[in-house]
Amino acid sequence: MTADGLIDLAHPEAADWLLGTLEPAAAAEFGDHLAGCGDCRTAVAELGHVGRVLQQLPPAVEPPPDLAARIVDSVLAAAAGDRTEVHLPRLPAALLAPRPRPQAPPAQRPLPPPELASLYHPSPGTRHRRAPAARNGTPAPAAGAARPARRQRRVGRYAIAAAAAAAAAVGLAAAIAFLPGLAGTTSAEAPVIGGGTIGAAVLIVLHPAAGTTASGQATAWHLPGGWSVRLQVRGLGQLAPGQYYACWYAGSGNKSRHPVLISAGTFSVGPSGSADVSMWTAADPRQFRTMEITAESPGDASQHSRVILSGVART
Amino acid sequence: MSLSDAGARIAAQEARLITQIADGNLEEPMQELCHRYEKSLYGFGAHILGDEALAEVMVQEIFQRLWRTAGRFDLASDSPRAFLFGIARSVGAEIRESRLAGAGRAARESSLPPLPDSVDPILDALAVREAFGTLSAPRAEVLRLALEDGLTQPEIAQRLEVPLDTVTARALHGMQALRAALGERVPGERGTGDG
Repeated sequence: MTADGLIDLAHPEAADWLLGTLEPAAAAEFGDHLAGCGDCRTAVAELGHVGRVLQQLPPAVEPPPDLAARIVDSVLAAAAGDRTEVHLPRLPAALLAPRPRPQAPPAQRPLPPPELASLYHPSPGTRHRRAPAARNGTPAPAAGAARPARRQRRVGRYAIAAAAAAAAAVGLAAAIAFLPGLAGTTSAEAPVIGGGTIGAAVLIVLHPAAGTTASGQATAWHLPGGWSVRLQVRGLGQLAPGQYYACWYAGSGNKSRHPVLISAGTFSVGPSGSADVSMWTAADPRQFRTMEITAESPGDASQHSRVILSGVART
Repeated sequence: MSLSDAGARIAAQEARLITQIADGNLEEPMQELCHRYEKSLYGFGAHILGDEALAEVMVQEIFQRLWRTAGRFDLASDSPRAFLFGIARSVGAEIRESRLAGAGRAARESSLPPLPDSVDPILDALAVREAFGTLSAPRAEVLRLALEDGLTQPEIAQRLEVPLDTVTARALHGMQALRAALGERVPGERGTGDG
């Protein structure tokens, strides 16, 4: 176009100067040369900006190959939830708590972290199960792992969860409801998401067990006092009355070959088969790396729960 | 067809996709916009957050918010790209603030890259990086040897056993092609008549 011909007349030093490869002495020399060489001046004037950009290119990063698919899934799940179901509360744990502790506003007084160490031992809210024969990399036994009823045990967890959840922000999930004016927002006046501190975000892509077509993902944010988990699922079957879905973290625990399961919460889906829920748990997904979604029947210890979805945290 | 015509056509296409999303037709328009923008939004996030996991969270949040705010998109005056990066800027700033909130702010501040006064340099860098992939192999090779290995034009000529003038022509024409990508990035700013 305009300057092709002129640019071809520039000296090699012009390209070196633009790309930052001249030694300081040579660069000074080129400065002198520039005063008397119109062709080089043209090249520098035309390409100076792109040259600076090139010299300061940040390292290349690639999004994970399945990110787009997960984004579309999560938007569709959220949309299905909006359209066809009563939207689940963002903080189900808080609403279910029998005795919420009074709390100061979150930013001023975050809760001390819970005793994480206790999670590594069998205790209320955690349990052991026998390691399935194949535990290497295939976290989801399709069926058959006995999961005893545990409804009562969870009440204690909800009390903790509620207090912590009240204290901590719900993470980005809450921010969705809040729309800053796009045009006028600058970083200085940007809203804060809740009062919490996002220390780390962990993603868990959930894959269907054999024979199911469900999909989903979970994102966990580390906040003061524990982890806020946002779970988005699609394609789950509507369960019989009284049954529900449960979300578990599985870790290797401190007794060999006995994985520990920790509940991150329970939920149900409507006819759409989709849900977008936020849950709270103290379990660190970097420690308890496997997440499992199971279908549960409360109060029936003989009932075998099925693993519907499972995935491993990326860290 | 000039570059700015192509830019205007792409913008019109993407504007239609956003309108479809506003109308509740989600899946295909979302897929298409994800396909077109996830890479640059991810790069943008990684740059301003200094963390790829957070960048991933950010990109997901951007598209959630795109879905919820598509109705605000003004066909007449908004550019789809500017609309998306406007959302990206807000989400990125919120994630940064959340990371900084609470105790130990000063300590954490040092762990985040400084937020530039303007995101234009980042967008320029993303546009140039993207355009780099479209350069012919000989031009890309010359630029890479200079930028990554710090070789001068004569050194590159020697390395490739190509005449010096040829090397310089490749470097300058390559940069010219990249500059065109910068013109595309901001319709009307450097190009002409594509507002």
